[in-house]
Formats: sequence, C-alpha cells, structure tokens
Amino acid sequence: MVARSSGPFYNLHELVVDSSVEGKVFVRKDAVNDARQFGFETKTMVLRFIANGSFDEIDHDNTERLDSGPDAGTFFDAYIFRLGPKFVYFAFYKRPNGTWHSKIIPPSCAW
Amino acid sequence: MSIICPFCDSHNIETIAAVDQYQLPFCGTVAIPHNVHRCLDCEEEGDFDNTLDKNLTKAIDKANLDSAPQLMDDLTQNGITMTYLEKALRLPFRTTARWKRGRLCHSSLALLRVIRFSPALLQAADDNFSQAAMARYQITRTWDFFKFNTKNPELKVTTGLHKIQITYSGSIAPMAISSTNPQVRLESA
Repeated sequence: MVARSSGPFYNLHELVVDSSVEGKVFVRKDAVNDARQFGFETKTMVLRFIANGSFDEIDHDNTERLDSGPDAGTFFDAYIFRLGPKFVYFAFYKRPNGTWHSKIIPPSCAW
Repeated sequence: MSIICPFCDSHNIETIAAVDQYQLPFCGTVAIPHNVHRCLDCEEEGDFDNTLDKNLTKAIDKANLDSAPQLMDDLTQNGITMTYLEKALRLPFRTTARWKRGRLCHSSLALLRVIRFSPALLQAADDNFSQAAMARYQITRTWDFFKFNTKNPELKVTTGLHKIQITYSGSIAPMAISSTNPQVRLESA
C-alpha cells in the first residue's frame, strides 16, 4: 500500500484531456448511478464535466492499489473537490491498454 | 468490429434493452428506453463502444426541454401570465411563445424552473431587485411555508424603536413535515 503522504500516481491533466476523446475514459454503471446524486445522469455527462477540467478546491486524497477485480494491483488516484455545497470523491486509474476508468461519488462511498 | 468489454477485455458482449426513470423537476418522472451493452463474463453494463450513451443523453436533454410547456402552464394556472413574466424579466416580447414551440435553450429552461420554484422572484424582478423588494421576498418566504403547510396561519409584526418582531404561527398535525415542498398538505390538528 502506498502511504498517503505520496503524491498522485497519474497526471490529472492527462485524464482531463482524454475525457474528451471518444473511447478513452469509461465509467462503471454503479458509478454512473452514484454520480446521479450530483446531477450527472449519464456517462456522457460525467465525462463532459471531467473534460471541462474545472474542479473547485480540489485536493489529492490518496493513492493506493486496487485490491480486487481484473485490475487488482493497479494504482488509482483519488481526489476530493467541492461541487457547490457538496464534496465529491473523484477516483481514477489507467489500464495497460491506455484507457481510464473513473468514478464521481460521495466521499462516504469511496474506494 | 466486435465490441470489447472495457473492464475485463472480454468479447462476450450482448446488447440489451433497458428502461430508466429520470426525474424532471416539477414534471414527474419520464421513462426513457435505451440499449446497453452487457458483458456476460464480468456482468458489467454500460456503453462499451461509445454509441449508446450519446443517444440516451440526447433523449434526456429532449425530455427536459419538452417539459417547458408544462412549467409555463403551471405558472399560468397559478395566475402568472407569460406576458407578465416577460415584462418582469425584461425579456423580448413573444419569448415565451417561442419557448412553447420548443425553441428554448438550457439556460431558458433553468430560468423557468427557478421561477416555477419561487414565483415571488418575479415580483422582485419587476421591482428591479430593489432593497425593498429583497426584504419583502425574504419575509414572505417563511410566510409561504406557514400558508401552505399549516391550518389557520397567522403573521404578526410588531415594531418598536430600533426593533422589529415577526411572529409566525399555525396549527399542524404531530408528524414530520418537509419545508422543501410548499405544496405539502397536512391533516388538521
């Protein structure tokens, strides 16, 4: 496990740029359902928001390895930013094939 | 070209029909049928080749914009004419006629929803958002809550030297009430 005092593993700006490229970023169905709490009804809306690159008071929360699933062992970065009166947990990782997987969820549902 | 699951790289994908409910503010929910990809290996669902989600997003957008006429009808039924709305907001004449014909953008829809949520804002706009209009708006919000949610609502204002006292009262049944829905009706106490 990587200590929280280390910085992000990935370049957030790279994800932001890739969010506007078709087929580069994916959001799981349960993550889309969670994102509805913030007004994002579809994957497309989530990606549009990320591609905008505008995150209020964003702060790197942690970097750890996924402990389950087909990508177990892969590092993910997690940030927390403010969306109006709410805080949002924003996590993502990159697969070996170059695609990103991300989720926007309430902090209580964090990985 | 075969579709690949972006989560487990499987080629074992099927396309299934789904129907999801989406909330339209003040207009209930709308059921939107759409297709999704499903991986038979990891059971993940979604838009795996970026063809399906765009259609769903467009359908949701259309449903939202199509709700504008109902918002305007609701306002009219509550005594707010579109002529008054245009005048109070300093909109070009016949703006709302264009909205009714479906020619409106998301910002116009957002404006309609805000007015539908709090029609009293129109009075403030009509008064050019003056200080007096703001004070009247702030006081009448709480009064609206008592008016819609209690029996025999009363408002008493007492003024003195450098002092103002406002008292709201009303009868409610002993149950939880929501202050976010001004149309909640309670049983009498």
